[in-house]
Amino acid sequence: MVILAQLINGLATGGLYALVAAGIAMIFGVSELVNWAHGEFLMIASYLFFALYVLARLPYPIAGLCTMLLMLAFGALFQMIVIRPVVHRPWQTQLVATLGASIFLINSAIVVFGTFPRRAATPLSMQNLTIGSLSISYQRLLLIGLTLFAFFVLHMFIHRAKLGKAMRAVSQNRDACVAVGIDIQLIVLTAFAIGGSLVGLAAALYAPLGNITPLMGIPLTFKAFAVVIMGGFGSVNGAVASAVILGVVEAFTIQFLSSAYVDAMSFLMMLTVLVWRPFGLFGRQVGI
Amino acid sequence: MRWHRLVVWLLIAAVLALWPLYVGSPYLVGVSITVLIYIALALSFDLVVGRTGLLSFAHPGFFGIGAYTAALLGLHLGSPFPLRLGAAVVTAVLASIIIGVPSFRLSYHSFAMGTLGFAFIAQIIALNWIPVTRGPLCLPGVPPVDLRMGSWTWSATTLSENYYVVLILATITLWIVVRVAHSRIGRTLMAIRDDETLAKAVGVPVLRYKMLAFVTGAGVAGSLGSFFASYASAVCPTELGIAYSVNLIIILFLGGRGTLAGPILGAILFTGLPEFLRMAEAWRLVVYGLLIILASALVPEGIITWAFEMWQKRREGPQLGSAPLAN
Repeated sequence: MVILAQLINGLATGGLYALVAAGIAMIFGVSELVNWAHGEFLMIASYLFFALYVLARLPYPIAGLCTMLLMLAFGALFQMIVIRPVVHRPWQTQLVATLGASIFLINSAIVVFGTFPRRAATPLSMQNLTIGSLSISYQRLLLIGLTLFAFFVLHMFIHRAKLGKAMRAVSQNRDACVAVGIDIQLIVLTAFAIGGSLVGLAAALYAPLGNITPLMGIPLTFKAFAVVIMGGFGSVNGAVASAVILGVVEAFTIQFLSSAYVDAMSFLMMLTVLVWRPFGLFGRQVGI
Repeated sequence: MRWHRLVVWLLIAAVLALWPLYVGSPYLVGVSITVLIYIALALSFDLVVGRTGLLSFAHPGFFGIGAYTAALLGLHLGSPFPLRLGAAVVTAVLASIIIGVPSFRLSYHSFAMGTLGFAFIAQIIALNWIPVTRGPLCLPGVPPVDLRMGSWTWSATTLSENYYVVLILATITLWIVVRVAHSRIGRTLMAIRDDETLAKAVGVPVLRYKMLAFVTGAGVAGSLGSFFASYASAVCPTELGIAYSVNLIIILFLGGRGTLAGPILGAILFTGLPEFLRMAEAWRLVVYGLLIILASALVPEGIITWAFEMWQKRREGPQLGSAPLAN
């Protein structure tokens, strides 16, 4: 029973990692740019959700949906303001630009909300489903269910919609896409908007389960990034699969080893994978 | 022209030597020590980032490892400072070899992430290995910088004495960096940064040179860590934190990578100035964040490089075609 409960907890955490990592992988796929502020997207989204749900007292589904839509806009704006001026610069400059954005977002949150942790508990997060000795919060089940649904929608979009097909084309051959007249900037903008809305969904689902603090995004960026590297750079499916594996491994680490070293797990896993398969678990061997 | 340069260097040396007497206030001397630590750290970091093109996040980790080594030796064995410094350099170098071997299998973003992973793990160990590091309680009571020769002993107890010690360390760092930069090694590193494939093609053992830069930087960072442990008289897990990495990256990218003046100017601007202006931490970082975004869009090679280009353009006068000719 303990094992089953931890498996479900791990899947829920893995779902959160997957939603963040999918955005990073998708953005990297179309623009070869790593968004080091992606964890801060989640932090901003969590505060947005807090403002809408706790302060403005909107009903939970509406607050969640609004968070997603606002984050979609936020992702697009972020691309226009921060990313567009550095698109043609070397990768170090791009990395530093997103790092600067992350510092800006964290400290703006500190200035506005303070460092005191906020909570946005929902009725679902306070009730548990109990079967025998197994007890799981409904919120985690909702998280797992809606994350699966979101990835189904994303999969359909990438494979069926014209814009989604263009995104896949850009990640395969950028120059050819320019030649046939695909607007690369629009594709990158779309990737940021989708990444933003996925993170918005993650915040609406996960914020009720934990504390909202200005620094909550930092470990998430690193873990999501580790997961993206494990999955093979730019491969969304690989990132999602590795995210779920990491979530489960972390849950079992807390249960059977120690909660102190749980944050080191992601890096140990990443390094093991990289030494064994430098191009990731699911990646092709490409120079990146 | 040689005497001309000598006079300038002597003047700079005199100003730096008399600086603590001039500013007087202990607070400002303390700030100057911090600035000098950052200058030396940034110069050694630039050896890796600016001259090899590798974005490493492990650098503050080596600083922290040096600090912990020196603190433990000083606390438990009462070793004199030169021994602590030597031990700090050796452990930092060993750590950099252990970290470097797997990390150099990675490229670009993955290298950045891999080194960051090591820095993260180092901090988690420092926080949780209670019997040795005392975790978040820190290691207090590290003995000050001292020299012993027979019955003669000297220890740096005042701020000014610490200032002179770190001034010497920073000068040695500058000397090492200048020596490396103007040698065959430095030129090879630049070649690797500018075109790794080409460097490989002409027979440069790329990995060995990258490792050399990485290990040298780590050794310097370790030695600075040993000083910091004595100066602050305590070592905490936060010394291994990402905040240091972020500060160093800001200093290099805004000051100017691959130059000598860039890291120095960056360190003065971004550690000294906010202290003198006494801004609140959160607001200061909000401004920093904005400045980084702006700088990466407008002056991606750093302020120094940009200023130098501007100065050169002005000296050469208007270019043909760039300005309409009279008549």
